[in-house]
Amino acid sequence: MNKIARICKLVVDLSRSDFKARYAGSFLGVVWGIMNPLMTLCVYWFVFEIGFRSGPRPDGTAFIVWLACGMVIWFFMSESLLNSTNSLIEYSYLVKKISFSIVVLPVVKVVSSLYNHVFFLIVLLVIMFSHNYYPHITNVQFLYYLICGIYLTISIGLITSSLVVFIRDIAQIIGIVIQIGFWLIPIVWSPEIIKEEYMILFKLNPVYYLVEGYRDSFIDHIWFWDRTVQTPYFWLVTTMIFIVGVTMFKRLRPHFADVL
Amino acid sequence: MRDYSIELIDISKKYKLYNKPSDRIKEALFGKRAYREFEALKNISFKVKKGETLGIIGRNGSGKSTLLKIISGVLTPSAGQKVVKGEVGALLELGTGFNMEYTGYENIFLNGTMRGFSKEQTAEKIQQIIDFADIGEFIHQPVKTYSSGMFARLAFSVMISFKPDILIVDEALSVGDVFFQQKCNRFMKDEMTGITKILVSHDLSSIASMADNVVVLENGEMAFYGEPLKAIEYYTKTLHSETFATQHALTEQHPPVNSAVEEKDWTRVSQESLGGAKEIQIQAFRILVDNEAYKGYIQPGSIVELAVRVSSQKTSTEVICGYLVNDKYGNAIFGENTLSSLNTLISVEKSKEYVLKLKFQWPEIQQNDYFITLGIGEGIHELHHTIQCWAHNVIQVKSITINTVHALFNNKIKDLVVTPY
Repeated sequence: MNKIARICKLVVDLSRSDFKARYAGSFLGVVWGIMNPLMTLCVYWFVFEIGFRSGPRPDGTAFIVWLACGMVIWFFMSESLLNSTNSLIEYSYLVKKISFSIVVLPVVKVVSSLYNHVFFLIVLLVIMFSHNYYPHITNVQFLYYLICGIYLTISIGLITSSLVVFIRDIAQIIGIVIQIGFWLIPIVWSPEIIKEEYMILFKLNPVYYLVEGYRDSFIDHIWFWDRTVQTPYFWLVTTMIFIVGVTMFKRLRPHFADVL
Repeated sequence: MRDYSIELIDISKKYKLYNKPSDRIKEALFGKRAYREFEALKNISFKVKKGETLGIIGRNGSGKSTLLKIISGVLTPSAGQKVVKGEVGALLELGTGFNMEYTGYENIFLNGTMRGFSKEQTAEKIQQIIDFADIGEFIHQPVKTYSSGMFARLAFSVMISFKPDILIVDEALSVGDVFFQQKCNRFMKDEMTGITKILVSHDLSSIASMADNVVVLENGEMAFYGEPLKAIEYYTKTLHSETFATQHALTEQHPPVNSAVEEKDWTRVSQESLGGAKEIQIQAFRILVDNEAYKGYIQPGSIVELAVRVSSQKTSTEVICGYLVNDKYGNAIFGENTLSSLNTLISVEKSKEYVLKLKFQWPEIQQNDYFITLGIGEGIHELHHTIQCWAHNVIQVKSITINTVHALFNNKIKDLVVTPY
C-alpha cells in the first residue's frame, strides 16, 4: 500500500516537472503548447462554418460548440498518446541510471497532458457560455469520460512506449495513425453523412465513445449508463488492450536498459 | 553477527547480440531465438556486509560497470539471485539520472523526486549539496554546459545527500580533480561509516586505502576475492604477465649460455634497451622489495634491492653503478649512483661477471607507474663520466600510497612552533 502511494506521488511530481520541462527554454513557454491546438480549432471552425457554411447542427446546436467538444478530448488523446509513446526514450537517462518503477513513465506523460486539457476545458466553457449554454448536471460527467480516456491512452501507451524502444519507427507510425484517426471519427464532419449500417464500423473505434461522451456531457445531456451497448463495449475493449499492454511492458522491461 | 546488505549468488549477464532490433522483440514476446551471445558476467557470487566497503578492480571491459548496474537494479541479470537490502544510490558512468537540459538546481529536485523525497525535504538539503559540489554559479546553468569534473562533483554531492543505504561509485569520480577526490574519499571514510559502499576505480591506492575487500574481475569472471593488497598484487601480476608475455617467450628461446647465478627472478636485458660504450655491459637484473620478489606494487618505506649483473671487457677501477626512476611521461623523478651516494668506486677485471646489489628505500612519492633505468658508468666525477651502459626503463613498478601524497613527493614537516603574536 505504501509502495502504491509512493508511486502515485512519483507520478504526480514527475508529471509536474515534465510539464514545466516541456516548455523550458522557449520564450513564450507554455503558450506554444496551447497555441497550436487553439489555432487548429480556429481553422476548422473557419473552414467549416464560414467556408463550407456548415451552419448549426440539425438539432440546433451551434457548430463551434459541437466542434469544440469533440476536439478538446481528441487533443488530449493524441497529445498524451504521442508523448507516452516517446516517454522511455525521452527519459532514458533515468531508465539507465536509476532503479525505479519504469512503468510510471508512460503514465507520467498522460498525466502531464492533463494540464493542457484543463486549459481547453476552460476554452470550451467560454465558448459554451458565449452561445448561451449554461451549466447542467450532466456536465460533471466529462470526468467519467476523461478517466475513460486516461485508461485508454495508458493502455495503448504501454504497448507503444515499450515497442518504440526497439523499433524507433513506431513513433512515426503513431503520428500517421493519429492523423488518419482524426478523420475516422465525426469530430469535424457530421455523422449523418454516413449511412446507418456503416456507422457501426466507426463506432468500433473506442475513441468514438469518448468524443460522443463529451458531447453527451456538454450538449445532449445523456448519461453514460444510458449508452447500454457502447459503455460495456468500451470497457471490454480497453481492458483487453490494457492487459496486452501490461504483459508486453512486463516482458520487455528487463531489456530496456540494455537497448536504450 | 552483522547482516549482509548485498548477496549475489551465481549472477550471470548475457548480452544477446541481435542482428536487427526487431529480433529482440520477437524473442521477448514469442520466444524465438535469433541472436549471438556475449557473456559479460559469469557466475559472480559474493556477499557484502552492512557497512563494508567493497572495491572492484579489473581492466576495461571486464564487466565492472555491468556488475554495478545489476547491483543497483538498473540491469536485470540473465541468471542468478540477488538480494539487495536498502536504498541504492549509484553514480554510474558519470551520472545519477540527470536531465542534460535541466540546470543543476532543477536536477537536484528531479533526483529528490526520483528517490521519493518531497520538494520541502529536498529544499532542506539543497544548500548542503551546493556547498559540497562547490561549482559556483554553474548550479543555475543547464548541466549540458558542465565540464565532466563539475558533473561528477554535482552527481556525487546529490547522491550522498540523499543518504542511501548502499552507495555505488563508478570510475566517475576519477574525472574530479585531486582535491575533490580527496574530499569525497574523506567523506566516505569518515561520514558514511554505516553505509555499504562499492567502489570501482583504476586508482589502486584509493582502493587500497578505502576497501575492506576487493573483487578482481577478469573477462566477466571473479578471478580473485580478498583483502585489498592481495587483490592488487593479483591484479597487477596478471596485468604484467599479459603485457610481457611476448618478451618472456623471446627470452626463453635464447637461454643464457654461462651463468653461475641462479636464474630464477633474473630478467635478461635485451640489447635494444642498452646504450653507451658497452665495454662494461649489463646482462640481467633482479628486483626485490623487502626481500621478496616484486609483487606488483611498491609502498613507500619499502626497501628495494636492485641487483645488476654485468660483464666486463676491460679492467677498470673507476666503475660507477646507479639507477634513475622516471615517471610514465619520461620525467626523471629521483636517482642516485654509487659515487655520489657512497663516495666509492668499483673495480672490475677483464672478462669477468659481477653482481652489483644496490639497496635504497622507496620514497613517499605520488602513486603512479614508474620506470627504473639502470646505469653503469666509468670515471671519477658523479656527473661527468663515460657512460658505459644504460639499460633504459627496464623495470616498471607501481607505487601505491595509502597516505596522501600532496605533490610529486612528500617532504615531512619536522617541527612546528606556535607562539602568540
